[in-house]
Amino acid sequence: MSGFLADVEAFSGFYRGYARSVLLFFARRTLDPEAALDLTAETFAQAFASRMSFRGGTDAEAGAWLFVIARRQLAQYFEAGRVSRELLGRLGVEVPRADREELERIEALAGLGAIRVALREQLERLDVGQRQALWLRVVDGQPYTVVAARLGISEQAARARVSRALRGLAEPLAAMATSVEEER
Amino acid sequence: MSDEFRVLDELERRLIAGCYHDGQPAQHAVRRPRVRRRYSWAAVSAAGIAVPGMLAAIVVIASGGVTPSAARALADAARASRASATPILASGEYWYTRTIFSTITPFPLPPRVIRPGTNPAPTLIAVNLRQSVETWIGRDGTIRQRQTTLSERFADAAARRRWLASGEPLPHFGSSDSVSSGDGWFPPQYGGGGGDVGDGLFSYRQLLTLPASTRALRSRIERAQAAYTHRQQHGLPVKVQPGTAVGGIQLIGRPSLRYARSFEDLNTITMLLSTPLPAEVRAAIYRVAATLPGVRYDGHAKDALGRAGIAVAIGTRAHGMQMIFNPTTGALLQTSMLVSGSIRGVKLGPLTQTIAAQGIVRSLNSLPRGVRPIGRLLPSPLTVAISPRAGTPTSTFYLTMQGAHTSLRPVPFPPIAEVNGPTAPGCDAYLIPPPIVNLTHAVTIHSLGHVSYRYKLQPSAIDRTAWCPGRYQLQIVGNNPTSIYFQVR
Repeated sequence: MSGFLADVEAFSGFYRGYARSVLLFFARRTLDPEAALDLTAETFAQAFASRMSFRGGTDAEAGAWLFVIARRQLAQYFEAGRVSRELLGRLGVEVPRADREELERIEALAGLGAIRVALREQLERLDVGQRQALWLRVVDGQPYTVVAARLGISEQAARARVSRALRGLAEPLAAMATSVEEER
Repeated sequence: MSDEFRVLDELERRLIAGCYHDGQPAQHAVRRPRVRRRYSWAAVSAAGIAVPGMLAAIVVIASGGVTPSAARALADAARASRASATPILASGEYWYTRTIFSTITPFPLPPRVIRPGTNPAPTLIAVNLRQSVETWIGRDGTIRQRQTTLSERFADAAARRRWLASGEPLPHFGSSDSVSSGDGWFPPQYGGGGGDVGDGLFSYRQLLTLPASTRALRSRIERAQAAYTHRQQHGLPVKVQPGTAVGGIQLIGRPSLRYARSFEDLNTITMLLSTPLPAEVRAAIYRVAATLPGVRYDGHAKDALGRAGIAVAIGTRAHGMQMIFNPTTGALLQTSMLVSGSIRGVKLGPLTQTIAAQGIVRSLNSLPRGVRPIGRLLPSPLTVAISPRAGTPTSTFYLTMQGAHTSLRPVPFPPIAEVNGPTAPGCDAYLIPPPIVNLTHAVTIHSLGHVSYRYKLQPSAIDRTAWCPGRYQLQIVGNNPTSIYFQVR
């Protein structure tokens, strides 16, 4: 597959083939549709920037390669507590914001309701601060400004606390996400 | 997709606008800051290649001739080197080097509004950047690399005004810290940046036994360069390919082969001079430098830290490479990529790499006496070990990750890992790109204030029933990446 993503049509076909799956993949593992959208955007930007390193020959290999990048993005998100926008910044791409209706549709398609219910049982594994932050953000669905205000910390600290909590639960979350993906 | 997510449609439009200009892939998007030294020069004339340095810049090569004064200065440095002490690394010790990188680099300013169908190439803003790169290299080639941003300032008031007017957060170059366990080669001083970071021209033992005669040493270096290039092309798949996602210095123009060879050799020489060499070999390396066609004497010069030295260079003062050394000790002080020109209105400046400190230390987390830490010297990143180091196609390898209690998570969290491996019939498709490896937690070990987790690594981890013969690199992915090598016979 030499000349991978060499033109707009190729990129468009690749994007349309995988964007929805990647978005839902991230949504199920971050429980945050907005973060999932940012991660999806950065993943495709990374794929474009490193397209020369792709040496597979089939669509399936291209998809597997894309999800390698996606998993790396997810690991960095859990590690850093924020979405890297390195490549998006270099490309000059601003991620569009989804309206409330679309965010709800992402949540529904990702099956986040079921995952959240199951997640409650896992919260005891977290320390108090992380548990509170995760509950407010993920279970109560509060925006980060509210999470920060309720916990008396900065918004940035609230984001970091939530992502660290998610990292602590990454294993059960991945299992839940996989089970949801298999059902659908 | 339109029926479901308008936001994904809009994202597609914006990505296409950013990634493609006039239907062609945008080139600016693939250059990113990297720290990587390479020896290979083979691809220079083809597309450009990473050479010492971490920052995107462009060097245009011109032609040059041999000057007697350069030869004299280098001969003096050879004599001074012969009288210097030979640093000998004992087992468990590391060669520490602190290098200060300094340059003007273009940083993209994202457009505030992107209209569908437009071509929003970002405006570039000039930033003065200083970073330190500290390396700890062990006899077995284990390398820790810690990169710290010392300062990042707009190059001028206009750049600052333009950026602030955009409302974007201030540009930030960040820091990193990683460890790669050794595989025998004594790696380049500035490792990392993807690919086979643990590879090098020589092992530590070979460095100690290099010939001290000029002709024999030059021949030995050339053979090592050829072997290194062969390994890079036929060994581990290298994620960063020449001319694509490399940062470093991008060479453009059509240098003569003779001149390009000198440039490559000077590059290798500066790299070797930064390693712990026997005094006689150090002296011979300066004598080899004196034989390079195109080496020019630039006279007395001061490095970025204000230390006085002698400068020699390849190319012109506007386009080339310069090294400054201490004539009384033979110590390499600074290497500069001399740059001119501009990229979309941003004037480029030289990229200097100044060796600020060097010495032998007892651990991956200590500094030579009298060297002050930059920022808070955190515990070293996780260290990993693999057993056995060499196995058969059906071997089970055991990966042990160890760190201080505080640096490991409280549960044996399965690390996210990737494998690079040999290319061979039936072995290449799945390794490029590297697959995510499924590591199985085997046991947790508590010992002397440290906790270790051991994981099983079998061919099934990469969906294979057997390993292909060759050299493998396992990378633990994360902010502080860690890698290790193993062999399959």
